Amino acid sequence: MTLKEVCDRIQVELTQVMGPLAPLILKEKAAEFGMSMDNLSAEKMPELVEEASFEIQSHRKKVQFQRAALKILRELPQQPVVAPEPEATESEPDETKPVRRKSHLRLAEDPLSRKQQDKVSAEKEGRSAAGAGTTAPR
Amino acid sequence: MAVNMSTVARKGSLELLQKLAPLREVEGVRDYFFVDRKGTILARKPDSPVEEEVAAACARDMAQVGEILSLLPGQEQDERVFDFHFKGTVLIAWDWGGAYLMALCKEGVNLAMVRMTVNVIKEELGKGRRFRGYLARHSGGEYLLSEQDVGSERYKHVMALETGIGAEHKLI
Repeated sequence: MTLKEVCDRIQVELTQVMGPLAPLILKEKAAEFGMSMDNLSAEKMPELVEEASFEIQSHRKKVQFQRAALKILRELPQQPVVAPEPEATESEPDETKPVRRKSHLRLAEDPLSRKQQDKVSAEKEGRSAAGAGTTAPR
Repeated sequence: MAVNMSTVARKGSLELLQKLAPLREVEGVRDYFFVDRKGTILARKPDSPVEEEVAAACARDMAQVGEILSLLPGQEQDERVFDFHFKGTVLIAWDWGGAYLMALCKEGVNLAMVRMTVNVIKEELGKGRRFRGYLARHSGGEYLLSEQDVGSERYKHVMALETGIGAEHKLI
């Protein structure tokens, strides 16, 4: 199924729950995402559908639309999600050492704490430099 | 399909497992689990690549975080959603009052697809009378943190936030 066909089917579903304003809403939402109805992105289609569903007042109808839209969206060829894998070590494992299992969850580096660390180390350096200046060499 | 029934699905949770099945079809969702207030996994993706102990730790920690945050003022809404971004992984948890649904996804997962799928699942679960009874049996009872825990030294910063004492503790 092509992207245009998917979009047409979603428009039909939205019209069923929202009435004749549905094409206009879909067009407006597409424009918000920087797309036009002739130039849609498969990647952004779910977001577009979700945004359009927020315009539906009735909760029951909203879920009904989302359910129908999900069925349609699943017919689009899904691109594999590429997540950065942890770097693999090239060296052979040393059998004498105990193997430590790597955690699946790795915290992302916090830029703020890094900045703070840099600031603290810079201050320390400054202090040590200043300290060196006050003590006269004998 | 081989299903480890002892851990993946406990007695009475098969309906729950079926209702959660649409999450399997979302590209990038590595694991999902339905967890009670205490952080015990009630149902989990059958062929999950994630180790059981990792999932159990996620579930318990997340339930604890949810409970601590629920002590803060202004947390009275029907549904709370937490998302934690790690390197390569996103953990999303929906607090539905009596229980949590958690999804462990790859970084770059289409969040709109996940959100809409969960929205539909929530609606389906709400319709199921058998499921509501099942959840009522599992969501009641003790909380993860006792009143004694909450009043203890370890959680005093939470109490400070609630009472407005301790200006150094601010939510960002």
